[in-house]
Amino acid sequence: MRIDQYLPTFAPHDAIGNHTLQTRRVLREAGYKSDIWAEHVHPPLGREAKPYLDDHHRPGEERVLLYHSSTNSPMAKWLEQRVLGGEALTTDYHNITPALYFARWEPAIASAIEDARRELSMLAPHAPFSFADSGYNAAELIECGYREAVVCPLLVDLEEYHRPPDRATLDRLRRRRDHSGTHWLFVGRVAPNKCQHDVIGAFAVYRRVFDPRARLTLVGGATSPHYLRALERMVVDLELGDSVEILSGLADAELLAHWAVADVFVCLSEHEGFCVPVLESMELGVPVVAYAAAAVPETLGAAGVLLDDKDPLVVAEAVDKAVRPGPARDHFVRAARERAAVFSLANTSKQLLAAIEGYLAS
Amino acid sequence: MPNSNGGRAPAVIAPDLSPEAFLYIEKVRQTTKRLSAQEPAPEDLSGAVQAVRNVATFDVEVPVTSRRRELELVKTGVKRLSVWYMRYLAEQLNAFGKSVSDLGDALAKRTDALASVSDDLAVRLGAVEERLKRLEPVATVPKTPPARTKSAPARTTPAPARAARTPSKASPTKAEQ
Repeated sequence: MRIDQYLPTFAPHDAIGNHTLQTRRVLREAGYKSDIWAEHVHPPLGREAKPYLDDHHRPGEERVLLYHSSTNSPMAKWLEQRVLGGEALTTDYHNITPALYFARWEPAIASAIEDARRELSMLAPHAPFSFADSGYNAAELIECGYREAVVCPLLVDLEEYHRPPDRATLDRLRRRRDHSGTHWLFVGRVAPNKCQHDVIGAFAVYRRVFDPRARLTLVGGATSPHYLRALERMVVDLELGDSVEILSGLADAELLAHWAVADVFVCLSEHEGFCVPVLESMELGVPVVAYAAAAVPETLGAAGVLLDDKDPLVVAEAVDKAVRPGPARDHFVRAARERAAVFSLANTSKQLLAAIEGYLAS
Repeated sequence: MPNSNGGRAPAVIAPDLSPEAFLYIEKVRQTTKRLSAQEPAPEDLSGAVQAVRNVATFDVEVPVTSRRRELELVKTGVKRLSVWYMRYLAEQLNAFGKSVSDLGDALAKRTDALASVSDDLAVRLGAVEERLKRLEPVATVPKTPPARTKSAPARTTPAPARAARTPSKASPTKAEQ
């Protein structure tokens, strides 16, 4: 039996790329043959995947095509043709951000998103059984016309977060920390749905009301350069000076150094299909203050502060309480680690394999 | 804080704040609101102009960061060599962008003004029609009703319901002529 995976972009340092590699490991360990096929393969992963157009029909071989859906791609149409040719398809849905968020900043991305949603619906009749990272994603699949969606969280190797951080970066950040206050951190691509502007707004109020020496670090490459520019202007308008830094292109060890000095992880994102950084934060024992939207409450559980309102003053006050040393903070750190253990690679791998075998048996 | 509702934060009690702090918080609220996602209304001209303004600034500060130090040096070199050229183009594009958004502003204001005049005219027209409706039955009742047979009056009195439906198009009766 062969289960091959297909994804539009296969890139390093990407949650879906890592999930695909881990899924292949799970499948191979269980005795299935499995390869990865992609539309765009980034050079460092060149040996791990092949161009999907090189994949030809294999008569006589029992095979399932597992499609990772998160963006638009001509691959969707190609897969539909393969299904019409008699092959079996299943979808693993990682969520597609609503176009609304990009319409005013990046109209081309908004248009691509609409295409992606159309493709997702187009494949629904051909994939009777599907997988989703969260209950939130599963509900979206059903809404798109899929008959059945089983929740299998993203496969994330949490052990990788316990590697040593970059020494030089860590030393520099620690020296800086000696002269500054509470350190806020948010990790995620600079994109309008992630609402970094709300984080900057809440941070500005926090500095004015609670801690004038606080610092904020936003880490993530820019999906929307126009939105990034608006954020940079916002930092100037709110007179935040160099207390806010927006970083991209960090190596994993450098990012770990930023986690090591963070006092709180603040996520005010409005649309997340799972939110891996929340999981990272829980694993690393950094208290989480998050807006209760999309799949975030499902991932965080009761292991952090969930807010129904993201008014800057509400968020600032919640952060002030979350970072104060004491039993409440200790409780959160403990609860967060317990919650992260639920998503350990061993647990999620078992869950995925059981779901795949359930699908094959059906 | 950990509580019975699954980690959800309780309602906020605002600390004592100075008037300046309140003003600053209000400024932050306005700024974040401006950058938030909004459902585009099909006829929201001001929103469309704002969207143009959001993308009408061309930045020449090309990012040069890279995971690889040598690539970063190359990018920095290329940027220094080409910045004069890019700046020359960007200045023209920024001026163009500003003119387009100013044009949009002017059109939005003019459209708003016309819409306001149109609303005013609609109200006045409605009042005139109402008045006409009230006057029509009076005008159609003859001062000295002619002697008719019992079945005749129905022919000379206009049907009130029809007059109410299309008052401006009601054709005069024979009696009015």
